[in-house]
Amino acid sequence: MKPRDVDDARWSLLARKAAAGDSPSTKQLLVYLLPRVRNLVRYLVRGDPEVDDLSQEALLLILQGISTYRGEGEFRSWADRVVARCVFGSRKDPARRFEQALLDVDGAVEPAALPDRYYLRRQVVAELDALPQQQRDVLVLHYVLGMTIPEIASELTVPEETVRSRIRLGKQRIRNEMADETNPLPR
Amino acid sequence: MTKSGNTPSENPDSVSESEVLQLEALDSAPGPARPLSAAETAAMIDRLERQLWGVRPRSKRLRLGAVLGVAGAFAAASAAAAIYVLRPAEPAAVTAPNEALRTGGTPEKPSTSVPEVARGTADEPTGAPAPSLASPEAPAAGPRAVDDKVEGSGRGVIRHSKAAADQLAEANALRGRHRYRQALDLYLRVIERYPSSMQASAARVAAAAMRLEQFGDVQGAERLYREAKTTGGELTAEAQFGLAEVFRARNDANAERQALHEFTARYPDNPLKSVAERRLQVLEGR
Repeated sequence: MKPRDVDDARWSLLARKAAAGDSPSTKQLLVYLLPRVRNLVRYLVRGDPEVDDLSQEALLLILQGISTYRGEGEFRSWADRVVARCVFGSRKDPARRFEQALLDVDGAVEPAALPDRYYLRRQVVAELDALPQQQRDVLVLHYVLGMTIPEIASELTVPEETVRSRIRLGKQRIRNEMADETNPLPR
Repeated sequence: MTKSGNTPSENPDSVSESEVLQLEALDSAPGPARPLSAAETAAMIDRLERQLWGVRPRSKRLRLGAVLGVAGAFAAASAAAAIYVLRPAEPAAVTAPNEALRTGGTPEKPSTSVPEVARGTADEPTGAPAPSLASPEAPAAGPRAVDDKVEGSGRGVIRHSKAAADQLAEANALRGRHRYRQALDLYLRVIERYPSSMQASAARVAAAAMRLEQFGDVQGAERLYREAKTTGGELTAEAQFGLAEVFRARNDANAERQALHEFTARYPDNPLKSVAERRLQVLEGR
């Protein structure tokens, strides 16, 4: 069995036990899910301040709906969809939109003593932060979650051509931004 | 899979685009979300469990992100109190729940957030004590420095100070739009052209923090923080704290500890003192 299979099996087992109301399994599942959910939320929302609130809501939705996970496909993929829907749904909440507008986008950036990959990802989301929300969404769903264009179109209830167009425009904008950023750092 | 990019993994063009965009498949490794300390993780999971099992009504849950965000803004504002003006922050009481959540000792890093800088010119008083424009700090040299040429000429100093402030404001605006490279260029231009101005002092700290956070350029950050410390100005405390962050980035615990001790000894009234002390507790296993 490949390591990935072991992981999937472990996640599925925990999910089944959590669905049956097993408290330790629920807790373990939360520990596994928390960083993944927070990372996905950060990919989808602009800035840091909303990440923890939305992650909390998404995790709660996952646990409350876990009995509906039928074991078809990876549990993680199922959970990712729940998180994405939670984030998309939150944008319709006027109170949250107002709150988001008041919060500092940059927030406090955390530890310097982290792997280079962390900094790379922070730069990537900084690029995403500059994109229109719709373009950002499709790029994240396509490249981060690996969803197909038909799947994204179905998820967002938009035509497939719209998804393709948003991906193309989003990539173009990021490429333009990167063209500005490719020069060496000034001394 | 067709060229239309239906699945990123099956489309060669799409894969290469993914690499260009640096968008990786989701995992649990650090980033892009800000990492949580062990205490924050435990608090969040505990809260979720209580919500799930119905111990606590959902509507009354703690708005963790909002509290962290507002507290972060408050701390950053405090850090730059002398000549910086951040967006409105909540009173100290708002930070209390945040403090309670951070019992694990992982320090907040408000000071390394690049500070928003008030325009701080003679035309636009910030409300903070205004440093004397007629007696700027010792210049950091540089033959192209224009402000050296106008020292002693009050009107000229004010004019150049305004130009420096405008550029600084523009750099801040660029940073706000995540144009980090351009913002950094502009910060460095302010330092180069007006090396002895208070705006240059702010720009050094801002540029250093950006190098550390946005670009992972530890060496460049250290150089700028050291310059900010040496040239004096309103933000020497923040520069000293920034140096501790640089050492932390290098995993040099001894140097970090030494820098934090120096910070707490030299700036006992700085709002970041409590952050430094908590970090020292972690480093010294207290």
